[in-house]
Amino acid sequence: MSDTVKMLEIKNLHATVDGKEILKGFTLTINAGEVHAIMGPNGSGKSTLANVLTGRPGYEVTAGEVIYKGRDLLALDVSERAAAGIFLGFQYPVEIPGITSMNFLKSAVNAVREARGEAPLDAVSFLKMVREKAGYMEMPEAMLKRAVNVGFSGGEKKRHDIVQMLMLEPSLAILDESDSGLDIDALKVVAKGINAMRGPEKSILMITHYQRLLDYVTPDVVHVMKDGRIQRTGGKDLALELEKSGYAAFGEAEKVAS
Amino acid sequence: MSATADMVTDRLSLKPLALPAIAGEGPLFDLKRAAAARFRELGAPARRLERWKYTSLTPLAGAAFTLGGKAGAAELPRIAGTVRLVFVNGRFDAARTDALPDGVVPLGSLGAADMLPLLGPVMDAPDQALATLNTAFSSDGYVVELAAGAVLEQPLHIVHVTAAGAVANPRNIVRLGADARATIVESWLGEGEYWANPVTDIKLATGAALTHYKWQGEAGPAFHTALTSVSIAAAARYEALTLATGGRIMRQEFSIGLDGEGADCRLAGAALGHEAQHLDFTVTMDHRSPHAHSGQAFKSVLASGARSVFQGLVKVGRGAVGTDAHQTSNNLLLDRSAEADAKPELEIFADDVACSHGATVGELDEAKVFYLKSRGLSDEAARALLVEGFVAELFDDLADAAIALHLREGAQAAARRLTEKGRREKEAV
Repeated sequence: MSDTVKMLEIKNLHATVDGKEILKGFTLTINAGEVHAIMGPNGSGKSTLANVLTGRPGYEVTAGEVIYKGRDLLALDVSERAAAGIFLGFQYPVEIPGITSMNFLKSAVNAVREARGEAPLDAVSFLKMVREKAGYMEMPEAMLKRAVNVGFSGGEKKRHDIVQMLMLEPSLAILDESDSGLDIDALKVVAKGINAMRGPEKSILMITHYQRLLDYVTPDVVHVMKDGRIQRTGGKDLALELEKSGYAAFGEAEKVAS
Repeated sequence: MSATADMVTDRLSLKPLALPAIAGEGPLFDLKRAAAARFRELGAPARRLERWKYTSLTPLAGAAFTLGGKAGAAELPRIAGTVRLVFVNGRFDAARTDALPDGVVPLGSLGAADMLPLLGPVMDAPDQALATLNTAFSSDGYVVELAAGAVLEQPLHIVHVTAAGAVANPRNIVRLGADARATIVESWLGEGEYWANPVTDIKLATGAALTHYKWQGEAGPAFHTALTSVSIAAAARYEALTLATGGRIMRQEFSIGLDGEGADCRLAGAALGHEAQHLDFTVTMDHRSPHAHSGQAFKSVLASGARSVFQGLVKVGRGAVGTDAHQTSNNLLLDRSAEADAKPELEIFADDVACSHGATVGELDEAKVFYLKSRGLSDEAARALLVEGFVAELFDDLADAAIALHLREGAQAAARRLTEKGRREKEAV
């Protein structure tokens, strides 16, 4: 295709944690409008990839580059990446006692708007938006008046994360095991939220251990990751094949997560 | 220093000791002169006193103040749904005060005969010498006196403003009759270097309930030394929440007597300090009756050289069976130059009691900082929000939303100051 726009280009990325190399020449290109899934066993480097892309402290990039919308992503601070339109869906969303979700969402939305040169949302527009997005994710408004994630079930935390994604309207969502710990009903709601974000100018990178999320969010491209790099790339059928054969067929024997 | 030198001035200083003369005839002024004389003997509390071990008043002793004086026309806070009373340099400001409900008057409006029993007797203890000084020089404050069963419908909002160079010695009196109820919020503010030295004397009769909020938001160079003394009768309840964000030195002391069966006292407080701030909460919780409950939950957040002190002494007297007393001190240090001292103490002379205490000191959780930053908040904003959340847990369940907002805004502004400083320090390294 000649008119494709590149959202993210990762070239030969090497990264270490505590001096140990986890990403070993990772290369991937995601075009605008595409949904990619990265599957792989524990310890393959999936979460490290998500953390490096969003700038979590403690990860050192030793080689390679990441170009996001034509910019050097690795030169940006965590908050700048968020403002530039990158969203991380957390495997384990964090609890923030003493701060209500409402207050948190408002701070986040307005911080991102300010960084993009937009005026802050007034109280009425903000409330309207929260109600719409939370309603879509089947989160009662009363939950948003409680402290962020405190006392939420695993499924509620994941849905809350997706509400944040819908509020922040990112260009690229990197979802790290957004399906883990969900029962089938919660999985369907989370999938509905992810599908709502799809669009010609949006891209999604789903990182998952299991195939089941892909039953509800159909990826354009599926990658198998192992030992810090992509071992194989295919269409959505690759996920089904993996479900049958397991990861052992790819690369060396499975390693235990660090 | 000769006695005649003090006679002609309003100047008050601790070192060299200079006290204004107390003119006036009759037993009230005799009491004040006796208090001044006793203070001359005692002097300001020194660190060799057990209860002053962690707090030095040396910076206060190096300053000089004058009694009274005028305050600038600062904009005063107003909390929706409350009745506001204003005190300037410790004196009632009628012009900026709302119409007062029954049972509420300024102390200064009382005659000498009515004031005498409220001010006396002279406090004798060396570690409460500043309260003795207050007796000598207090002339005003708020008096809330409710008959049995009376309810103060609207909370009272007491605003204390102090001007640069002034010393204020307000004496506040609360007397609630059986089953009476009231809510009081205090806001403390001012400009420059000054000294607020209030004493608040509270007595709650059987079944009465007082909710007492205080935001100590004094100016950065100011001194704030406060004694809140409470006697709680059977089945009565005293609930206090104090937010301390201002002042160079703050000492907030609570002296609580659980004086009847089933008396209940809940104290909470948060101190947010940076740079040279020294913020001290000292509590004596005296269980003198059976089946009384007490809780103390204090927090501090400190940056760039600030220091907090929490001393929580729980005494359980003989016969105070069934006592239930708990205290916690949780502290957050934003950098290595800050210091939190927590000293919970128990003195138990009764059986069948449940007492607990715990103290923690920690740093901001970087996983939480990353979470907030990944949602677009700047490093500073993320840290400020986490600091706010740490202390705002104490305000979460307040019944009055307008009061909760007032305190929350105070905490929010302080959290921003602390994290801004913390960040600058970090970059300087």
